Amino acid sequence: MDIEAIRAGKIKQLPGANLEDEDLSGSNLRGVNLAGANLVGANLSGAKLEGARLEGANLLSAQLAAADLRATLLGANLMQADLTGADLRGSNLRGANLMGAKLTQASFAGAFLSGANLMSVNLKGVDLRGADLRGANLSGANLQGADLSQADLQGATLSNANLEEADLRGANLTGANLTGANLLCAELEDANLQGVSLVGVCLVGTAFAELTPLPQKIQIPLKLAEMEHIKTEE
Amino acid sequence: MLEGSILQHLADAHKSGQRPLRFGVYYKNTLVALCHALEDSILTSNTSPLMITAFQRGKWYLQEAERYGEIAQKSRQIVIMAAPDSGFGEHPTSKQPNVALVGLETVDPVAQEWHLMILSPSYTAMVLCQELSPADYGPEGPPEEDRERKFYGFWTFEPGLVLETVELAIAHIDRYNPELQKTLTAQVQEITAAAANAEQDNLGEIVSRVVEYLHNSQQDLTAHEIAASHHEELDLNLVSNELQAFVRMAQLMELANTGNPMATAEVAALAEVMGQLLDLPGWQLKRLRLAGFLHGLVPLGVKAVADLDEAPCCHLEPGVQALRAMPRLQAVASIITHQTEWWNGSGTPAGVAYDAIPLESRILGLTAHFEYRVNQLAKESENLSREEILSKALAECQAQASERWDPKLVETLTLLVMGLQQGLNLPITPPKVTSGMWLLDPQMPVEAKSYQETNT
Repeated sequence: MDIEAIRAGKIKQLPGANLEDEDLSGSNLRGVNLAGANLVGANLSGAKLEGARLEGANLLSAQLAAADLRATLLGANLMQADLTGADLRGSNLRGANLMGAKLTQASFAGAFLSGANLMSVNLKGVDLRGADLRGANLSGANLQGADLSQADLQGATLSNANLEEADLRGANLTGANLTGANLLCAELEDANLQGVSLVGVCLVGTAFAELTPLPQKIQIPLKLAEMEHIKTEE
Repeated sequence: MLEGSILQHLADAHKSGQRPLRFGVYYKNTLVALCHALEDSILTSNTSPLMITAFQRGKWYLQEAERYGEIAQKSRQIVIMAAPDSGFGEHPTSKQPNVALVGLETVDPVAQEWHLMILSPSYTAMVLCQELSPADYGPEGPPEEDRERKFYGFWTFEPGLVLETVELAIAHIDRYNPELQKTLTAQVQEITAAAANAEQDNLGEIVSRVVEYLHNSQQDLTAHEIAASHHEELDLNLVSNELQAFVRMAQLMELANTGNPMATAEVAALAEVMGQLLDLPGWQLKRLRLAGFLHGLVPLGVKAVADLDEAPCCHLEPGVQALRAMPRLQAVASIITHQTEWWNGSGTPAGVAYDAIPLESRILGLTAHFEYRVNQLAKESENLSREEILSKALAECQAQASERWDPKLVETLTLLVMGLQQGLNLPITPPKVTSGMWLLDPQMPVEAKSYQETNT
C-alpha cells in the first residue's frame, strides 16, 4: 500500500484497509473513507481527519493526540487510544468504546456520544458542552470540573462518577443513574433532574444542598415545590 | 451547608438574585496560601482595615498569631472567632488593644467555618468556606494529611459582597459580645464613608501576591513529595485559584469600565462564536475563550477608553505582568496585550499591522469593542430596538474595516450579527472557573504547535 499517497490524502477510499501500526502522524486524511479499517496502534497524532468516515474502525491503542477528529466514529473501537487534546467537536461517536482512552484536554463540545462506553475514563475538565450522552456509560468516570452545560444525559449511567465542580447548567439528567456520584459544588442551575434518584449522592455546595439534611445524607425532604418529580428511594 | 452558618445566610440572600453565589472546592493547603496573601496585602495597603476571621479552633489561630501581631499594627481592628483552645487568649497578639477574641461555642455552626473578611476604604477581600463533614468525604472518609482537608465556598474582591458578609458576621458576634458589635458597626460606618474618597490599593499587586503565594505552595508540595495522586489534586487546586485571581480582577475592572456585570461573559461568548465561524481548531478556541474571560485586564484600549467618563479603576500593567508570570497563561497574556492593535499598524502597544497581530487579538479587540458599543448604545438611546442597536454598532465597526479592524473579521462579525438579529442565542454564562481547568493547556502537543505555525 502506498503510505505516502495515503499520508498526502490522495487516496480517498480505504474502507477496511489494514493500517495497523502505520505512521500517519500529521497526515491529511480529510474526508477519507476509513470505515471498518484496522488502525490498531497507528500513529495519527495531529492528523487531519475532518469529515473522515471511521465508523466501525478499530483504533485500539491508536495515537490520536491533537488530531482533528471531527469525523464519523460510529461504533469505533477507541479503547486505550491516546486522544489527548484531540478535536472531537460535533463528532459522531455513538456506541463507540472509549474505555481506557486518554481524553484530557480533548474537545467534545456538541459530540454525539449516545450509548458510548466511557466507563472509568478520565474526563477531568473536558469540554462536553451540549454533547449528546444519552444512555452513555460514564460509571466511575472522572468528570471533575468538566463542562457538561446543556449536555443531554438522559438515561446515562453516572454511578460513582466524580462530578465535583462540574458544570451541569441546563443539562438534562432525566432518568440518569447517579448512585454514589460526587456532585460537590457542581453547578446545577436549570438542570433537569426528573426521575433521578439522589440516594447517596453528595450534593454539598450545590443549589440542592439545602435539600440534604444532615446526618442522614440524602432524604429528599418535603420542600420540593420546584422538584416534585424527583423520586426517592430508601 | 450548615444551618445558621454565615455562608448559608449569605447564600440564602443571593439564592433568587441575578447572580447566585457559585461555590468551589478548596483544599486547606490552598486556603492557607490564599489567606496569607490577602492578609499580607494589608501590610502595604493605603488604609487600615477591619479584619474579621473565623478559625474553627483557637489552635489554628495560634499558628498565625505571630503574623497577626504584625498585621494588627496596620489594622483598625481584628476579630478572631474560634472555639477556644488553651493559650488562645494568652498570646501577646490576643492582648493587643485592637484585637478581639470571640470564643465560639462548639455547637455554633460558625465554628466549622473558615472565614477571612478584610474591609477597608481602599481594599476589600474575602474568603468564605465551610469544611466538609466526615460523611461528605464519601467512602474514603476524611484525609489523614491536614493540608488535604477539603472545604467548599468562595473568595472574592467584590466590595459589596464583603460588606454584606461583614454585616452578617457582626450580627453573629452580637450574640457573644454586644459591646464589640457596637464598636464594629461604628467602624464599618467610618470605613464605608471613607471609601468614596480613598485611593484604591493596586489590585494588580494584590493579585500578583496571591499568585506568588499559591505558586510557592506548589513548590512546597513538590518538596514534600506527598503521594502522587493527592499531589496532582492539590496542585490543580492551587493553579485553578491562580487563574481565578485573574478572572476576578478582570471582571472587577471590566465592571468598573463598562458598568455591565455580564460584559466579560458576553465578550467571551461572542469571541468564541467568531472563532467557530472562522473554523479555528479546538485548542485555539479554548485559548480565545479564556482570553475573552480575561480581556478586561487591559481595558478596551487607550483609544476606546478615551471617550469614557470613568477612568479605569486601577493601574493596568501589573495585572498583565502577573499574568505573564504564569507560564500557562503567557499565550493568553500576549493575546490580551495586543487586542488594542489596529489593522493598519497605528494601534498600541506594539504598533504591529495586518497578520502580524495575533489572530485571537484581532478577534478579541473587535468583539470587545462591538460588545462595548452595543451596551453604550443601549444606555444612550432607549427608543432603539435591539436589532437597530446591533446594526448601528456593526455599521461603526464596518466603517473602520481595513483601518482599525481586520476586514475579514468584520465580514465574519456581519454574519454573526445577522444571526443574532434572526434570533441566534449565544449561551452567555459567567465563567465557572473553579472548574475551568480545561481552559489551561499546559502541554500543547507538538503537532498542535506546528499546526498553529502553518495556520496563523
